[in-house]
Amino acid sequence: MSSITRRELLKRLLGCAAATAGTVVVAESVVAKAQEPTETTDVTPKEPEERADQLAEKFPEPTGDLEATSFVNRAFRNGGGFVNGGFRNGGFVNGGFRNGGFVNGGFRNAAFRNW
Amino acid sequence: MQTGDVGPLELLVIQPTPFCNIHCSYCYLPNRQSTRRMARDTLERAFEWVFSSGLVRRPFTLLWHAGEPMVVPPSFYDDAAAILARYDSTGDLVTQSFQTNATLITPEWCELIRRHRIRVGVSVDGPAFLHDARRRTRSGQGTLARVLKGIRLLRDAEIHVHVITVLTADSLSYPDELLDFYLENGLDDIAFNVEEIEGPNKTSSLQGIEMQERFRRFLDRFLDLALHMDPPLRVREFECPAASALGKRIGAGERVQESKPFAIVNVGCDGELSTYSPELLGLSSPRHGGFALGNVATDSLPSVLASPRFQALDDEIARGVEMCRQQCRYFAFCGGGPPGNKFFENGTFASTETLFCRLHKQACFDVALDHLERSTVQA
Repeated sequence: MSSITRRELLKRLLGCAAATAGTVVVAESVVAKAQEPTETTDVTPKEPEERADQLAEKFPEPTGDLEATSFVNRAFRNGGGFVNGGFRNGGFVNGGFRNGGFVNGGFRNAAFRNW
Repeated sequence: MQTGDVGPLELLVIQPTPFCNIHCSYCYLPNRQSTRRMARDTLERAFEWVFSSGLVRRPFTLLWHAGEPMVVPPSFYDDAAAILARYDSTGDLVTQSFQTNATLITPEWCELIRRHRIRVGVSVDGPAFLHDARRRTRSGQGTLARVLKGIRLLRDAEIHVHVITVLTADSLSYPDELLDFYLENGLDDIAFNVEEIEGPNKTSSLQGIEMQERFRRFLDRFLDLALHMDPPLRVREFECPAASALGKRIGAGERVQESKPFAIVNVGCDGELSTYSPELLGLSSPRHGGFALGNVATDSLPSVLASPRFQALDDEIARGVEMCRQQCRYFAFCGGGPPGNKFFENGTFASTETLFCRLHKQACFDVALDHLERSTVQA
C-alpha cells in the first residue's frame, strides 16, 4: 500500500473530506475555529478508558493484533490495520509506511522515543 | 530469571561513539565530549553476544545512537553490515536506523544509507529562532543551516526522513510556525519529544502546572493544522495514542518495551551493556551502582540475569510498573512510564508519574482522543 493510500485512509478516519477543497481553505477554517472564544462547560472530564470505550463503539473493531502497547511501542504490531472500513485489510500499517515502511512489526518510533 | 523469561529483543541500541559534534542545551548524554570510538573487535563481540543470547526471537531494529553516529566514518557501518550479514543473511531480521543531527550528511553518507537501507531520523527543532536557540555548536553557533543542507541531500537521494522535534516552553507558542517549517522543508513525518529531565539535564523549561495546558493547546492546534493537510502530515503524537485507544489494553503483569528486561539492549562504545531505558547507559547512582550490567566481552546473558544487581533493578522497575497500574488512569494505554524518567525525576524506579507522563503520555492521549471524537467514520 502506498503512503498516499494510507493518507487517504487517515483522512477518512478524521472526516477530513473537506480537505479535498484545498489546503488553504481548510487551514483558514481551522484558524477561524481556533480563534473562537473557548466555551466553558461544567461537564466532568471522562476517564480515559470511558473515552476509549466510546471510541471503540464509534469506530469499527480493530483486527489482527493491534495492541495498546503501540502507544509506547509505536507499534501496530503484525498488522491487521487500524480499524475497519479503511484501515483494516492491510491498511494503516501493513505494507506501508515509507519505503516499505513498517518493518520489524514495529512503528518507526519504538518505545524508546528518541529516534 | 531465565533467558526465555526476558526479551525478545525489539531494539538494539549501539553507541559507535559517545561524542556529539554539537552541544544542545537539553542533551541527556553525559559523555558527549568523549571522542572514544567503538573498536571493530567490540562491534564483533556485541553482535556475537546479541545473536547467541537467545534474545533474537523476532525481527528487531538496530539503532545507531547515543552520540552522533556520523562522527565515525561510513566505513564503520560497512564493516557492521558485513558482520551483520553473517547472522542475518537475508536481511529480514535486522533493520538499521540512524538518529542524527544531520549536520555531517554528505553524498557519501547518502550512498551508504541507500546501500544498507538504513532508516534516518533527523533531530530538528523548527525554524531558526527555535532550533538555533537550543541546538548549537560548542562555540555557540546555530546549526539549522547545516541541518537543512543535510536534509536536502537526503531528500535529493530519495531517502525518506522522519524528524524529531524537541519541544521547549518557547516552542509551545508556535504551532503554526512549526507546521510551516515542516511544509517548507518537505517534512511530512513528524514526532515531538518534550524537553525532559534526564541525566545532565536537571531541569526542563516545561516544568510548571501551566505548561500542561500550554502543551495541550499546542498539540491540539498543531493537529488541527497537520491532519487537515492534503495529504495529512504523519504525527506520531496522534497516531500512537489513537492506536492505543483503539487497540488491546494493557493489563496486570504486562510490561512495555522500556520496562521489559532485554526488550532493549544498549551497548556502549567500550562494550558495556544495559537494558531498559537507553538513557541509563553510562550513568550510575549511589544506591544502584552503574546501570551497565556487564560487558559483551565478558558477561553472558545468564550471568547478567543471575546477578543481584540486575535482580534488584528489575524488582524495583517491576514495582514501579505495578504502582502505575494501581494509580494511573492511563495505564491501560501506556503500560507504565519509562524507568529512566522515573529515576531521573523521582529518584527511584519504584515510582509513578513524571513530567514526561503528564505531557507525552497523558496530554497526547487526551488531545488525540479529542480529535478522534470530533472525527466521523465513513464506510
